[in-house]
Amino acid sequence: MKKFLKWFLSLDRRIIYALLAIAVIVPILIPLNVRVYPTPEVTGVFDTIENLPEGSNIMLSVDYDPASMPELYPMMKAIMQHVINKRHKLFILALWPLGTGLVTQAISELKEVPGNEWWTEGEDYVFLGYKPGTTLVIMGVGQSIRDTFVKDYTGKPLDTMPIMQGVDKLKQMDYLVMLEAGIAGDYWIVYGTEVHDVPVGAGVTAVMAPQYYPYLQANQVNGIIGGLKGAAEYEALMDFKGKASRAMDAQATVHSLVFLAIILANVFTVWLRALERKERAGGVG
Amino acid sequence: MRHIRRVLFGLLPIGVWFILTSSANSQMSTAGPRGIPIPPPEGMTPEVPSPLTKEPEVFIPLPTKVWAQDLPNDNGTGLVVIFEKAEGETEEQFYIVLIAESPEGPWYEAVRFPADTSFKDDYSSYFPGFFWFRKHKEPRTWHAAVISEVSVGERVIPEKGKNYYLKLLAEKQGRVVEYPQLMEARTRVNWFHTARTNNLIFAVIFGAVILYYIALARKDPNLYIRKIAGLEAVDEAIGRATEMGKPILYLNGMDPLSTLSTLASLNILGRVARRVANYDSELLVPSKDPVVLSVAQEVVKQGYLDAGRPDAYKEDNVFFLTEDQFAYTASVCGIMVRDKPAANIFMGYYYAESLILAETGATTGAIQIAGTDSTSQLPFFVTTCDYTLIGEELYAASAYLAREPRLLGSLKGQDVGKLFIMIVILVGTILASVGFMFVRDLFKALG
Amino acid sequence: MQFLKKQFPIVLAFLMGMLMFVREYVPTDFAESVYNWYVRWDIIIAGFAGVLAIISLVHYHTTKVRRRVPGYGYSIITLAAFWVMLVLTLIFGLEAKVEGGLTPGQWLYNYVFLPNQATMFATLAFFIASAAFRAFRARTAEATALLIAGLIVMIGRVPAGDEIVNFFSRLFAGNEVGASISTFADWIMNNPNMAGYRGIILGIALAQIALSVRIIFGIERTYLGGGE
Repeated sequence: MKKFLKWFLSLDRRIIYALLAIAVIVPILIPLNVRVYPTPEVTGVFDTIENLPEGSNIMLSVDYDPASMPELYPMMKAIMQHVINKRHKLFILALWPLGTGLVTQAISELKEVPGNEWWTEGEDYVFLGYKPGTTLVIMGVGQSIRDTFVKDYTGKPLDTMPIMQGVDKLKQMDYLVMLEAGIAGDYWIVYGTEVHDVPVGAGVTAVMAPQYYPYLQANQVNGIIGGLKGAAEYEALMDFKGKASRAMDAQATVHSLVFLAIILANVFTVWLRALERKERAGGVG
Repeated sequence: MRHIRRVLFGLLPIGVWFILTSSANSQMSTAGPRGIPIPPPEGMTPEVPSPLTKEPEVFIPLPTKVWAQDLPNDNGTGLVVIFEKAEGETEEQFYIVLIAESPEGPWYEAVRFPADTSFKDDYSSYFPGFFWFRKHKEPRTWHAAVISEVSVGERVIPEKGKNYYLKLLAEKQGRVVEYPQLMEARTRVNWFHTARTNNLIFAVIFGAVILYYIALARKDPNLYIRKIAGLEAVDEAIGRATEMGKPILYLNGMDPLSTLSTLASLNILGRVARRVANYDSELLVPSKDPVVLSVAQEVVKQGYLDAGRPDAYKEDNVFFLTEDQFAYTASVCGIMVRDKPAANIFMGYYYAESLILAETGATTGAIQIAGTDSTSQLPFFVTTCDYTLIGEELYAASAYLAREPRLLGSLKGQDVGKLFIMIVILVGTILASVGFMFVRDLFKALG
Repeated sequence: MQFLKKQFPIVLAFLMGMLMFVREYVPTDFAESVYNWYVRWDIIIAGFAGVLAIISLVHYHTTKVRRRVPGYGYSIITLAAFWVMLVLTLIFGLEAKVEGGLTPGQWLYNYVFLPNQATMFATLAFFIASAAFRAFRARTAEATALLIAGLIVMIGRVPAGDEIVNFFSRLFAGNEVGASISTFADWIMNNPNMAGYRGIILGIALAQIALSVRIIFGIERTYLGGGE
């Protein structure tokens, strides 16, 4: 027994990796359909978009790159679809250069979705593209979107777009959703939304979520969508099963596996210690 | 070196061209057509309803105290009309402000809002008041109609330093009444942002406290500073690397030079380089940011020079990998696995790659020292590294390693600041709990 | 030369630092133009430094290949990737289009770069598992507290946690309690976690101010590459 305990406690990390791989792959092949319970953090973002009157201005800041795509992309698509459903106007910009590719990909994917045919560039949404100088862009958007970007991502002048008529400033936005994999979100709060009084929701990677709770408590953001779980909750609120909800199966099994491994490791450590103590006691007696 | 300089001078015209074109661009675009000229309103009194329709007469209350003035705390292109809430105004009522450059018109609609919105309290950036008295004193009593960027053909008014004429109108159910007095106001450039007064005061006081302690430390260099285990370990790590004949890997974090943690990291690099040169071991510094690379090269070179070993400095040991986060990570992991450095030192700001770096380093058996102010990555470093400098310790490290009294003095000043914040939090919380909000309001960011 | 290397950078740091400090409190266009001006300089300097970085990259790997340093094969791959991407994008451009075909540069971005990045990110899962396995051992009282909090947050972050609680509550009490574990996990994140987090943040902010003061007043100058 002691041998087994010792073997388990010094388990080769490659065995853990192999188990982990199995725990990810199996639920993807055989869906478990776990249920998702929305938390108040995610509901905060959802409710804001849901309760705004039709045709409100929503700004989406895409501040991540393909590396965080698994977490933030499903979230971005769910939010965009929600905005489409509510017939809000969508203003998208990217503070990370590699975010632009993800936006164009999401736009073309959403256009294929049945029911979204009416969604037109320049009328219902505009993709402003990327501009360098994070804080400068945020401050610029506070002053004038048109002066900051001049043209949209594909080079069309913003002045002629129906969506831009009468809209030029951050404070005219009814809601800002920022998708963050880095520090840009802090800059949005400091230089943008706090100054211009715009409500904000944050979609962030799971690792970054703890960093945003102080903002939530200080009402500087009104919701946090944290990682894939957050995205799945958002999908659940929208009543559709997207990539994030499907990935929840894998996340559930993986977390359970790690959970189990930690508990076993602790139980076995205590057990081993007890065995050794008994042996020592026996040796002396 | 000479060919690099030649390339740089070759690029100079491109830089100049860039400046010229970008400034030209910013002047080109114009703002949107918001203010469309509208005819002046007809009557000064409530319209008499047509006897044919027999609608009940709509009563539109007007405010009694109204004035126009320059918009405070702006760049000089704003005006504001301030008026007391009219008795009996409802949310169905709208207020409209018209603007003109001469009393005869033409008049343009500058702003329109429902009567239950747009109060002075909503614009803390423009009307900070005296911070602690601002709140809870007649809340939502004064309306503020902020006027800025009204398009008039090709131009945007108000412009700086000009006089404008303003009219206040109230509208309800399609009927319009006008406040009987025409107002005049002049725009003014404001040179101080009064809403940031509290910020300025605290910044100056805190800066002064730090400078004071630095001066004090110069006189009395025997300042006590608590031991930071992670930094004590730097010498151990360098010694071990020398014994094993393996290099030391030093990362400056993922952020550009403008981030303070990167600067802190480069300061530590200078100290580490000097020690490494003394021990005669090798220091590898792969860089992610080109600007950081150039600075790191200088810093390491100077470190070797200070140690009296300029001959031992190899420029190729401070090198550029890539600007991409995960490509950089993969590359650094490759170096760890192939070269098996005896010590890995991670300083600066990190993102999701922190665990990949530190866990790979742990598998190679290196001594690992991390220091970061990236709070979300701290747990990963704490679990995988032998020593972790948490948050402010990263900033203290350079002073600690240098043992220079002036730098240590600033740490003392920092502690005083911390004590001050602790007292404020404690007092503020107690006062806020019993209903006195002034400490909270005093520290509020208003603009 | 000595002046350019020693005093001038310190004077420049002082002037720029004070300028950026003052502009925080000035609401006029001056503040904005100072910032624009600063950002432009930043972009220009970054452009020049970019050239230096590319020279460093090419030089470093070419030297490795020339000297046949062990593992020089990786350097060949790096150099090849560098030149292929550079030449292709110079010829065909990297103009992204919402509709229409892909340029070779975009193709490489979509089908080589993107999957590679995602792969590196995905390896995190494995590292987290092995790190967690080692870190969460109840050796001391503090470690036990960390272990328990960590487990609750971990299981609360996935639907499985709520499912397990609901399963037992159905079994024993006959009704479901909904999102119990995830709510508790959120409480941990929102309260004890944040208390500690805020303390660290305040310390960092003060330390950053202190470092800024040291740099602006030329007390800390290691970053300039200069000794005392």
